[in-house]
Amino acid sequence: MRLSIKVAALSTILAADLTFFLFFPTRLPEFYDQIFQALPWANTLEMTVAVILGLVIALIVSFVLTRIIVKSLLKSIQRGNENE
Amino acid sequence: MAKPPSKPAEAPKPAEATSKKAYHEKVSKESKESLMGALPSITVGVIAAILLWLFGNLIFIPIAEGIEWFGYPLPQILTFIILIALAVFVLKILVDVRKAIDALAGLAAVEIGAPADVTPTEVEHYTTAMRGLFYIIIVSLAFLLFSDYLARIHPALSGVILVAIVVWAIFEIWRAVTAISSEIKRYSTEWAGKALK
Repeated sequence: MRLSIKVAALSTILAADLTFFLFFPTRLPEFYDQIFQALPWANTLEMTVAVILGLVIALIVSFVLTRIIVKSLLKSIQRGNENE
Repeated sequence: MAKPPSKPAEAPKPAEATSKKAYHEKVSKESKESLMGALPSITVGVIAAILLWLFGNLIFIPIAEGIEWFGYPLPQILTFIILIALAVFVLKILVDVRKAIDALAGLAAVEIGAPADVTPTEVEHYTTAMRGLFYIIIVSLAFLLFSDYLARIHPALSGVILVAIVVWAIFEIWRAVTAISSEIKRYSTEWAGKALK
């Protein structure tokens, strides 16, 4: 997969994750509550699982994204040094 | 019995000079390679740890307030998960920093210390001093990341760890000063020897 597609896909996942947990509970709390009420399980369990999953996704995606960007930056620096 | 006349100071033999030059080049090359390998890894670790701290502190812990899971408050469960992840990142950073410091110490011994006349003891002294100083800086920064989360688990936990860090930092500073003072002693002995000739 091309680097730009990887970065775009991971950034979209991170943005969606953070938007869901940062934007909806503060700006649209009714919508946020409705989502959890629509699900068949108890609200507390749903929220616990959602928050933990959200944190884990944000953590993994941001780590992988940083790693990819730093590696590609290093490669381009090395290529620049070789060309000189 | 008469003592044999003492020999005048000899110039370094060609083989000795070649081996010193080879050691100088080896240390210089290995240090540069090691530094180039460790820096990107440290950058990734630091950025990931800061992002984790930001996500945890600003997003996930505030929305977890008031939620309980089987009687346990969710913010404390999240705090525990974040602490473990932070500990993993900090350990990874420390391993990479150790490599980078060894490389920096090698470079310091080669470039600053005594060009083309580097001994393994000199490199070791620089390594001890730099390790000590950098470890103190990194552990202090890591404590700033951890302190909020530790205080959330138990208010006294943060204080106990801070006291342990202060005691350890004093020991590390003492080690660094001892290593540097032995280098200063060696240099001053050499200079005194030259001045008295």
